[in-house]
Amino acid sequence: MNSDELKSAWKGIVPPTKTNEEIKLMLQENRHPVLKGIRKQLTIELLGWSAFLLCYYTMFDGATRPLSVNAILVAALVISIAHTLYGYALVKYPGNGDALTASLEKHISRIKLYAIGSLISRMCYAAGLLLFFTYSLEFTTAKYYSLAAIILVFIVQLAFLYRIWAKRLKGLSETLAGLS
Amino acid sequence: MNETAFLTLMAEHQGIIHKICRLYRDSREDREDLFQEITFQLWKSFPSFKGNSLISTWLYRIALNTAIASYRKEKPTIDYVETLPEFAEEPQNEELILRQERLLTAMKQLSESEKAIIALYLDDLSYLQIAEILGISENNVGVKINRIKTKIQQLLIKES
Repeated sequence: MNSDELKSAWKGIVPPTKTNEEIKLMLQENRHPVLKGIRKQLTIELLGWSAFLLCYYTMFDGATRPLSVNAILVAALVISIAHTLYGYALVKYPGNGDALTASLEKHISRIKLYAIGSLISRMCYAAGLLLFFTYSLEFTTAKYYSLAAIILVFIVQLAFLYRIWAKRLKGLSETLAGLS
Repeated sequence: MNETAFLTLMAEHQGIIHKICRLYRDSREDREDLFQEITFQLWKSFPSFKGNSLISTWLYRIALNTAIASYRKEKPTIDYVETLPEFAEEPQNEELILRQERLLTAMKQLSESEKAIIALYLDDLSYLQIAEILGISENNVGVKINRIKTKIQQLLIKES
């Protein structure tokens, strides 16, 4: 196919038509497919952590632990929720009509920050939980092994998370390089 | 914000968005989601459009940026066989449909950046406008288009 044939084939594709009513519905934030998913995740996280925070003080002996340990646990959970909120804002305001290469550069910087935040918040979350539950625990060999296994699980999770973000950033950087 | 003006804009230009969705997503559901994401982003950015560039330039920038930047979950590898069912709303001749199927199959095998560039070229945008959308020089646009055209021809030959 020569250039004209390619163009005529491309232009000849007849797209479906959305009505004004359908478009109007799409302008609502609560219909956005990605934002809807993040909101769902945020609601589940908030409900879960609220339930945990409501009962940890009595059920998990929060009252017997120092204020600093309690504060670190709460801070770890707050950091995790704040990070999800940042992700929401990131999806909601991705660009403003700059040239594609400039928009992508900005997007990559923001995603890098988000990815670092993601790893840090996961580490804080793991450290907060571990500190809280192991504080004043009398360690035996079996308990040391259990702790090592739990830490290993967290490390594997972090490694997976790192891989996901590294792959995503690599893909975006390659696209940017291809456009520049 | 002028919703009526935005709806008029969408009525005139939604074909561009549909084609970008077609190019960047494989399943019908993903295309619907991307269309919605692009529409939402356009609506959010609409008040900041000051008319410094053509409306189509602004629209292409946001649509392509959303298609490339938006996160999608990885799915199993799919077979790139195009049948164009949701696009063939008007009667078209068989030869044209066949050509469209072959072209789309080839275009789907390009990288994300190549897809963006060739879509703009096939929509008959000038090199200057493509350069403005991408933020690169006209010469660079020309070089890239030539490379992608060669690659598409090779893919088309491989298909047939």
